[in-house]
Amino acid sequence: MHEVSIAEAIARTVVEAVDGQSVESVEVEVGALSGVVGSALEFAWDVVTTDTPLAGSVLVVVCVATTVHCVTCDEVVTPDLGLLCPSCGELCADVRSGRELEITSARLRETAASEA
Amino acid sequence: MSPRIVELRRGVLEKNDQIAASLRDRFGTAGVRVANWVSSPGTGKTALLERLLVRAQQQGVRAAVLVGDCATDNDARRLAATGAPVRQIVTEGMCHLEADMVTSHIDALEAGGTHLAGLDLLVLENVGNLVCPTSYDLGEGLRVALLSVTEGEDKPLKYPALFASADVVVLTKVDIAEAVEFDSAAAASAIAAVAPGRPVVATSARTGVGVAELLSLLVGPGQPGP
Repeated sequence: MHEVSIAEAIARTVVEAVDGQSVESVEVEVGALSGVVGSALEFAWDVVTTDTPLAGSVLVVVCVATTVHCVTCDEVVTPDLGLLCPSCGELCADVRSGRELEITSARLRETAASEA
Repeated sequence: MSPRIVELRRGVLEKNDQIAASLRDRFGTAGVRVANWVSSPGTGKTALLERLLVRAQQQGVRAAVLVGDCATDNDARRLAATGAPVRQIVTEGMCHLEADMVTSHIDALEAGGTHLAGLDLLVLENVGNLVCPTSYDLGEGLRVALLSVTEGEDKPLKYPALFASADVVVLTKVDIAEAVEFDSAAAASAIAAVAPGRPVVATSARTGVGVAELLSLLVGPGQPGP
């Protein structure tokens, strides 16, 4: 349950990046192998952003599925349990996606200043 | 008017990763091998480390430990009894070690006269947890995932992210494997499913089996051998 520290890290980065502008939502990519649970992260977001410039903003979690490259099939596949190729059952160590933990973008609120 | 989007494309743990990268440089410059030990609570990390530290001393391997726990310095006191330099990192509830904690405790270790350049091996014993330490790079050269025979052979399947991130898998308490009807073939296939190709070392802190093998894996070639 380290989603609170992850949420704090996201909030810190966004606050620095938007330089005082009001934020409507923040999008993050969370891979299935990242060890972070999207729903827990969304819950933690509301808590850690209270009384900060990000209060009231929404954290949008985009889940990234695990994909691996199977050497035998020479294809990028979505593995079964563990890292097994669903076609041939081979173990696939070459992980192509699923480890993501990245802040992709922040959507800013429309304000008088931004319309000017 | 469409809302404005600020593209960020920034790693969430960028700051931790940057600190870990400078730790890795520092370890490389000092020529010390660093292993991050991760397991659930009660796997026997500390008991195995006690045995490993004694073995290291016998072989002339200079080893030190930073040990993380949510509370108490019990583990540091146990490990310090071996004579090795040890520091306790009390995380005050935090469920994993982060790179900045490691940095400040290494600074303290060096301030106390134990210099990285004078060590062959530094073990970072993480907080007992199979989820959260996965995401936090500590600058280690090797991540070691430990699994005791009492925990269930399918643990790697239940915590695939952590085991997939490991470079070495260690089985502990193998002296009681038979008594708890541990199925070593099932465990091997569970490990292979999520961490294919990783070395697996079977150990017992009580009998000492596997300790020499583990030590030579950790210190690598070119270090004092068994």
